[in-house]
This record gives sequence, structure tokens and C-alpha cells, in this order.
Amino acid sequence: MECHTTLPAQIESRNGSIALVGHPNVGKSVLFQKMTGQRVIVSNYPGTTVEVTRGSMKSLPDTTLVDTPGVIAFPPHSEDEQVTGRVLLYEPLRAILQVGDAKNLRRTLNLTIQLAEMGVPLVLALNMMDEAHSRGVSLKHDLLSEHLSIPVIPTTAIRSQGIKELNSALMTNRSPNFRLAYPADIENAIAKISTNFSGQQTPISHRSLALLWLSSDPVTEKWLQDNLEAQIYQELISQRQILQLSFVEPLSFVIQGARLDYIEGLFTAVVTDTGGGWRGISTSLGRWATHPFWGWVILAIILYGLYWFVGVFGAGILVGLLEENLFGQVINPWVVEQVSRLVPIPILVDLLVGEYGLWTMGMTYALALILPIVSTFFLAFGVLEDSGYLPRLAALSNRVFQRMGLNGKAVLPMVLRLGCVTMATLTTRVLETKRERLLVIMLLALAIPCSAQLGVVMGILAGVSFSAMLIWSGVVAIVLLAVGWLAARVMPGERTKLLVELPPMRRPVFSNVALKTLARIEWYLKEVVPLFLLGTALLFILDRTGVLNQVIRLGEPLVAGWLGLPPEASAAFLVGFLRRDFGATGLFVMQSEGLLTPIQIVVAMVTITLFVPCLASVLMIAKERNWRTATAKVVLITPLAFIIGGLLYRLLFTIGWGL
Amino acid sequence: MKIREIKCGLCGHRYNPDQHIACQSCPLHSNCNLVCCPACGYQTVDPQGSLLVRLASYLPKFRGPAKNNHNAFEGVSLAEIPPGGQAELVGFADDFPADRKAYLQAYGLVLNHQVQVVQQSPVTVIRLDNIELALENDLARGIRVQLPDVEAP
Repeated sequence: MECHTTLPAQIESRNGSIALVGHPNVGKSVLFQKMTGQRVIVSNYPGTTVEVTRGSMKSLPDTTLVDTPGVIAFPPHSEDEQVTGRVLLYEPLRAILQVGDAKNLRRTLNLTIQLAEMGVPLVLALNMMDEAHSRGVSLKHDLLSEHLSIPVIPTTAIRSQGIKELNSALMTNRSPNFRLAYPADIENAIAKISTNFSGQQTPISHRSLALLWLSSDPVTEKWLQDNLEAQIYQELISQRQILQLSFVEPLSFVIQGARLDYIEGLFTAVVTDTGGGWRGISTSLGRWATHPFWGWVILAIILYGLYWFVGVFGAGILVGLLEENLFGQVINPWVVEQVSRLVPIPILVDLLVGEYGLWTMGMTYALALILPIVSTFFLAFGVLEDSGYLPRLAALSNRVFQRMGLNGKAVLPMVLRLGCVTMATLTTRVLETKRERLLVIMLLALAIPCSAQLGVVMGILAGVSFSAMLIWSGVVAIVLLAVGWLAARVMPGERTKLLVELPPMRRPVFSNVALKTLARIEWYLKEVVPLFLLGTALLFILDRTGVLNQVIRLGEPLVAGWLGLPPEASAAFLVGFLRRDFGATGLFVMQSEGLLTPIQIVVAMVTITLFVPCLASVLMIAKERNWRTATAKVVLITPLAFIIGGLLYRLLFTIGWGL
Repeated sequence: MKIREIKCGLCGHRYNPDQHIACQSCPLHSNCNLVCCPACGYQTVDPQGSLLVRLASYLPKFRGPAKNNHNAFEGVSLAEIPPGGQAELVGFADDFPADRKAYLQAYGLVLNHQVQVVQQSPVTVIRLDNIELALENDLARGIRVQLPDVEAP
């Protein structure tokens, strides 16, 4: 095996951006924040970044830093990994900054070698040095740098250690002179394939392009198809097929085998591991979280804690303080008085501060009722995300998702859906197959509420009893499982088996959780307040024109007759088309006015949870799929929600629950 | 009819309980739920024979060895290493999914590399250097391992 021979100078001078590349969950996004000053969502689970984020570097203001989704190795296995492959081939790059986990050098080097072969100036940031030290891992980074002929900088990004050194290393802009020798047949093939690119300016070295082609990298295949004549491309295909005949294993494994041999030697030379890892409370917590019995106990404790913090504290105590005391006694009376005094037109006064007033209903719902609920939820959710619990939940719940033709990884978009439907839909890219992504998108639209709705539901049900909460969650879970089970049988295709990394359990950093909560609250205010105002204006117009009464009368057989709710609840379901949480808030107000019995509350909450996907969700499905699919989902889901709600009403009434 | 196969708990011999000539000639055979290994004679419960065993198999603790969907290979699979045990990678089943194999190799699971098994239920959790990986039991059944050499004291 040889390395260090000089690479032909195919890539002379470079302008363009710097790509931040690395394995999932090694701190790329933290480093991106430190180097650009731009805030991106950072979490302790793989898949936080599912598309690229760009930012101007603080030290090199003319240079853009591109944060990419985590990639294990090339060729990529999932859609988000392919995004990274596309950045490397289609984006003009002046350098690559690889972020690697210092305590897992074998894995890091596997990617480093592939990146170094690309011939683009490369800097390796060995991140999380603090964790490496605490686990008894010490590294000779100078020796590593010498072997790979690239700058290797130890960093602890979360504490801003090593950032200055990284910036100066990136300014050197030197292409690595790294070359690994592969078996003779592969070397001959590389030489032959490379002749097809001679004289052509390629984004990465000819050698690396040939290796990626031989490994059947889909992004490289697409790039070559786009950039080579059809005849040459066909020749490449036949060359690869002929070469494959010389080996029993796929070519990618043969190439990988040579790399692994080299890595093993290098690893032994530069790493000293004195052991000492896998001790302490975080290791024990991590084990309990995936334990077949204690794992579920921990999940139950977390869910109860969430119920208490969001439902009892957020929706009960905080909403009480804000809605009844601050808005009810101070702000709203003052606003009503000022508007009545200053605005001479009665209809305008009604529009602003009447029964369906933009302030007295729209803004009060958004700020006094929903805001405290989502704030507490976002805070609790941020703590969970940063603790490293979510991948363990994926492992724990794998068997449940198996029944739905999925694997435990599907829990990630489902949990994220509680925060933001757009983010959740994008996060389905961490799933390996199109079939799995479609299944999860469908389940997201059906039975997973958003945080605001979940908070309102928790708040209302907390006011009834804990058993009401259990009935609601039980019915929603049964519907989710039944629909998932059926859909998995209807949709053909094989299930991907779970294989997921479990990051270390960490104590969440307060500043990160707080900033993430603030960013999400800002998003909520920007997205939700306009829709609440629109919904209120719609109700106002319907009320003024007398249509609202007609809607209530028309909806009476369904809402009152079938669901057993007061006819006025029709208005809540009507605005639920805009946002389900707006509809749920209407029911919340009815409950606080004593208009709903415990049975009616549970039935209303189940129906509104399973109700049509809100406007944002429908738009997202239409964007990801098409309008026909989005319309079909609305047409299917609406009657299903009412059928289940009506059946539940009859069941609870028959057994005499809550009477 | 599907050919059944039982692995003897004592000697590891695999046999078909339906082709048991000795059992057929036994007068008490009709209500017997046990079968004997033709190689060593060790008695094993026939999972198809007993209703109680079939019912108990729905409980996780009594589930017993799950069906191996991979092509059979000689030796021990990763799924058979008890929690806390160490093992060295020997190879993968022929039909092991290629993308999962590449993924595991990228994480450093290469020939002769040692892993520690943390748990086997509900999924197999292994420690590889300083990484913990969770993999479905069926994947673990496709990974061939051997127990590491124990040095003499």
C-alpha cells in the first residue's frame, strides 16, 4: 500500500464556497454557527440537517460556508446523504471542512480518505476532543496530518476551542497529495476510466470520480450522464460490468476493503485508547432508555412530565394568569375602551373588539391561550432533543413501527411533527426508501397533532382527568396503528431494517435550548397569528351575513346528533380547516365556559385531532406530492375523524364513563 | 408442506421433528410435545406440538430463538451473544443487505474487529470503539461472530 505520491494538478486555483461535511451528529451545525454567527437548529440526534444551510464566514466574509446533511460514507444510502454528494459535485468549492468525531477515529478516517482523494483542499476538524479525553482516547494529530497531507485541527466546537486555528488552516487552500493504492485490477480500471475525462475540468479529481463511479455512487452516475457524451457513458458502464466479473464481491466492497486495511494501520499508529469510556450516569441512563422494560417506564415518566409541564403548568397555570388576569382584566378592557372611544364606525369596532373581534378573539387566542402552551412545549421538546433520547426512542419503539411496515427511525419525523409539519416532512428524508417516506407522510397528516394543538388538548384534558388523557391518546394510537398497518399492506415494497447510531446522552446546554425555543416561538408567531386573524375575520363575516347560524344549523345533525356536542361546536370545526389548533382553542373556550361535559370534551378532542390536516399541512403535501393526493387525503380523513368521534361517543356513553 | 427445523439446545444439530421415526413408534407419542435430538438424544419442546408453548411464545421472555431470515451459516451469530459479552466479526450472511453491510463497515465493523453486546431486546445494541449502534435482531442474526481468544492467566 502506498500513499503520498503527488496528484496530477487537475484542480488549479479555486474560488467558491467551503463545504462542511461529516458524519451525522458530530457537531457540524455547531461549528457552522461558530464560524458564521448564523443560528441553525442544532440537536443531539442524527438528521437535524436535511438540506443545506448557507452562511457567510466571519473570518472570510466573501466566502460562503455550506452546512450539509451528515453522511456515513460514499456512496450515500439515503436522500439526505445524497444532498451532500450533490454539494461536492455540483457546487463550486474552494475547500472542504470535514468535521470528525475525535473519539471515533476509525469511522472518521473512512470519510477523510474519500474526501482527500477528491483533491479539493481539505481540512479535518477533530471535534468533541473533550469527550475523547474523558473517554481516555488520545490522538497524535500531527502524525495524522503528516500521513494524510492535510491540516488536522483538534476542536471542541461547543466551547469555541480550535475555531481560530481552523480559520487559518482554511486560508492555506492547499490540495491534499493523498493517494491510496487499490488492487491492480481496480488501478487499471481507474486509469482507463480517467482517460475519458482527460482535458475536462471536473469538480473533483479524475481518480476520485472514477472510484465513485466504480462504487456505483448514484450522484456521480447522474453527474457523468449529464456531462459526458452518451457513447462514452455507455462505455463506462460496460467497463464497470467487465471489471465486476473479476471479483466475487461488489466493487464498492473491494474498494472499501483496501481503505479499511489502510485505516487500521493508521489508527494503530495515531490513537491511544486507555479505556475508561462507558461509565457514569449518562451511560446508565442511555442503557435504561432502551431497556425492554425500564425503557417504557422512562417513556411513561417523560410523557407524564410533558403532560404536567405543558398541560397542567402551561395550559392551566400560565394560561390562567395570561388569559383571565392579564388579558381578561387589564389589556382587553383597556383595548375595548380605547377602540370604542377612537373608532366612530360601530361595525369596525365590532370587527376589532366584538364577539368575533380581531383583538378580542384572534390576538387573545394566539397570545393568551396558545403562546404559553407552545412555549412550554418547545422548551420541553428542546431538552428532549438535546439529551440524545430520540434515537433511543427509535430503538425502543422499533417493534411497534415494524407492524406498520416501517422501522423505529420513523419516530423521528413523527416526534418532529409536534413542532413543525414542514420540518417533519423534510425529516422523512432520513428514511431509506420512498415507500417508507410516503407511509410516514400519510400518518403525519392523519394522526399526529402539532404542538399547539397537542398543548391545547393536554390543557383541556388536564382539566377533566388523567383517564380522559389516556382515552384520547389510546384512541389516537389505535387509529395510527390500524391505518399504518393497513397502509403497509396496501403499499408494496420491502421494509428497511433498523440500524441507527445512539449518540451519548448529554446534559442539554441551557443557552442552546433557550435560543432554539425562542427561534421556534418566533416562527410560531409569524405563521400562526396571521392565520388566526384570517380565521377570526372569516367568522366575523359569516356571523354578520347570517351564514354562521346556517352552518351551525346545517352541522347540527353531524355535530350534535352524531358526535353529541353542542351545535355551537360547528364553528370550532369550521375554523379547524384553517388550523386544527384554532379549532381546538374554540373548544377550549367552550370548556372553560362550562358548555362541555367530560364525554363531550374527549369526543371533541379525538375528532379535532384526527380532523382534516390544517392548511399548512395540505400545502406541504401538495408541494411534496401533488394536489390530487392532498385533496384525496382531506376527503378521506374528514369522514374518518367524524366516524371515530361518533363511535367513541356511543362507546363512552354506553359504559357510562364520565357521567 | 413447509419443512420444519429445530436446533438442538445441547449439541447444535439441526433436524426436522416431523421426520422422527423413533417418535412415531412410541405408544405415548400422540400427546407428547417433546422431541429428541437424533444426534445426542436431548429433549426439546416441539413449538408446534404444545398449545401452551405457542401461547407463551407471544410473551417476550418465552419467545425463544426467533426465525432466522438469513441463509444459514456455520458458527455463532451476533444475536446469540448474551448482553455484556464480547465477540469478533467473522463475516456476514450471503444475503445480508448490501447497504446495511456498507453502513456497518463505515462504522468500523470489519473482520476480526471486536464488539461488545450491550443488549439483545428489543433491539441488539452493540458498542464499537466509542459508538453505540442499535440494530434490528434480524440484522444481528446475519452477522457471523466468534468469541475472542481468552488469554491464559
